[in-house]
Amino acid sequence: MSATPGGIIPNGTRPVGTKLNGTRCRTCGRVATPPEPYGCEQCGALIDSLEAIEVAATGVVHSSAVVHRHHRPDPVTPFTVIEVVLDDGPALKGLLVADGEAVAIGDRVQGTVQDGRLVLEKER
Amino acid sequence: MGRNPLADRPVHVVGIGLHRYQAASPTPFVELGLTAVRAALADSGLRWPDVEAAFVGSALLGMAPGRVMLSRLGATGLAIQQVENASASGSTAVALAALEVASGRSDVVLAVGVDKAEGWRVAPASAGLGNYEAGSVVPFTHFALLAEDYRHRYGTTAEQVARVAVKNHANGARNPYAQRQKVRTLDEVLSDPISGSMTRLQCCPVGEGAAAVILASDEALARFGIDPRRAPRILSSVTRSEAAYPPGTPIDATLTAQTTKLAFDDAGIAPTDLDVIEVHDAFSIEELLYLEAMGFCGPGEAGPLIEQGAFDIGGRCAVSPSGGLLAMGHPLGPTGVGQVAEVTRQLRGEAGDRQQPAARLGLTHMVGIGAVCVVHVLAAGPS
Repeated sequence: MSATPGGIIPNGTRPVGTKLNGTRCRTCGRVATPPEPYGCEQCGALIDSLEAIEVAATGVVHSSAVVHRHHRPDPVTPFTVIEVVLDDGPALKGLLVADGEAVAIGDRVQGTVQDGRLVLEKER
Repeated sequence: MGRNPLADRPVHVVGIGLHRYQAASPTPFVELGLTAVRAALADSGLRWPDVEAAFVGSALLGMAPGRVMLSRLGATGLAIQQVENASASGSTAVALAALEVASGRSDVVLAVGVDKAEGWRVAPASAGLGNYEAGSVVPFTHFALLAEDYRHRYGTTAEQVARVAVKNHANGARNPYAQRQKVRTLDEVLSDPISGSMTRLQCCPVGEGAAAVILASDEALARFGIDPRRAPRILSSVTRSEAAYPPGTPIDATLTAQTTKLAFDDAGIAPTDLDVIEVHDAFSIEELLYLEAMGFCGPGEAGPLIEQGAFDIGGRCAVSPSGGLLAMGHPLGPTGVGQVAEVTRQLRGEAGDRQQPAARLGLTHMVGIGAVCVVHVLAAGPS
């Protein structure tokens, strides 16, 4: 495992590929996570057309960037932001786990939510 | 989209004026705005009482900046409307001013953008939608991610992307209204990393300033004896917003492709006809993404083309000859109006040592948080 600019997870706390809360539109199939609270962004279906689902926090790295400057002390720089396209549909942005192995575009990753952030690492 | 109103009743730019874009200062917004409006009036030869309506673009000033500012030119009782559309506030003020003239309601209309970099309040943050970022992803990282995706797809080098900033800083160095007026080397541009391959000089400065344009009808040109050679025509004006794209779609580029397509169709031109483009280059990668999105060149071709100087002043098409957002600056409200001022200057042949030779067709392009996109196509007057 290479030393890499990482995120906010202390050593020993690893992502476990958890499920995220989400919604699926019964009309058009659009999946959203976090859950859509107002109405479907794709087709405009009302909230009662959206069913609560679990969205797997696994997917493929679409892009990543090491952030060197941040306007707040948290996360501590440098940290790596990953854009992941989840297997269940939505694209999300999260952080590479602290001391995690570097990821490349196309790699599979799994994640969990810590302190309101999606934290990702290479799928094992 | 319905019929293009600008096709039926021509709308011309007859006056342009600017207050230099600059870092935050104690200067009141009224002084910034009045400087630009007075310069635009002087440029047009019109008097303030000739102006029948005004659209004031700002994103950060809060409620009601228009009348308190414009009344100091003499409170004539003209129509005044405030316009907020994030980074595209100024462009939207121009769009509404053009529509006001095209509708026949007014013959002489002002669009002015003015702003101060203070008091940020962004509505989507309080929309109750949530995300998994907790403040870790700011605009420069959004575009750094797009840059990595783009470079991975086309093999574009970090140096090729940085060439956008080298070019635009060189253009800004020749623009007395630019916030950044310093020529930068490739090494300078590549130093001081911010996020991904985006460095400090590949990110735009957000400061303060003002820009004004006066639009007029054919009737006004005749009535006031305005020289049509100094009055480029706005051929089309199109505004769109982000649709529900598939996951992983580059949102801003896709939105740009859709908006520019409509603007080209309305104007009856092809992207490769353009001589001058002022593009939303808040981050260097955007210029490459948008030139391809608007069909000026094919996917992955913009990197090699910028290296060959195709987008330099004197190249195939001058892109961001003002210095763009990267060097002229991005004070929000003024930015889109300033783009129209620069393209007007170019189409008049009055851009001095920034002049693109024989410029006849120009385009302005802004995107804003939302996302929204506003595009104008302008044509030179009779030569």
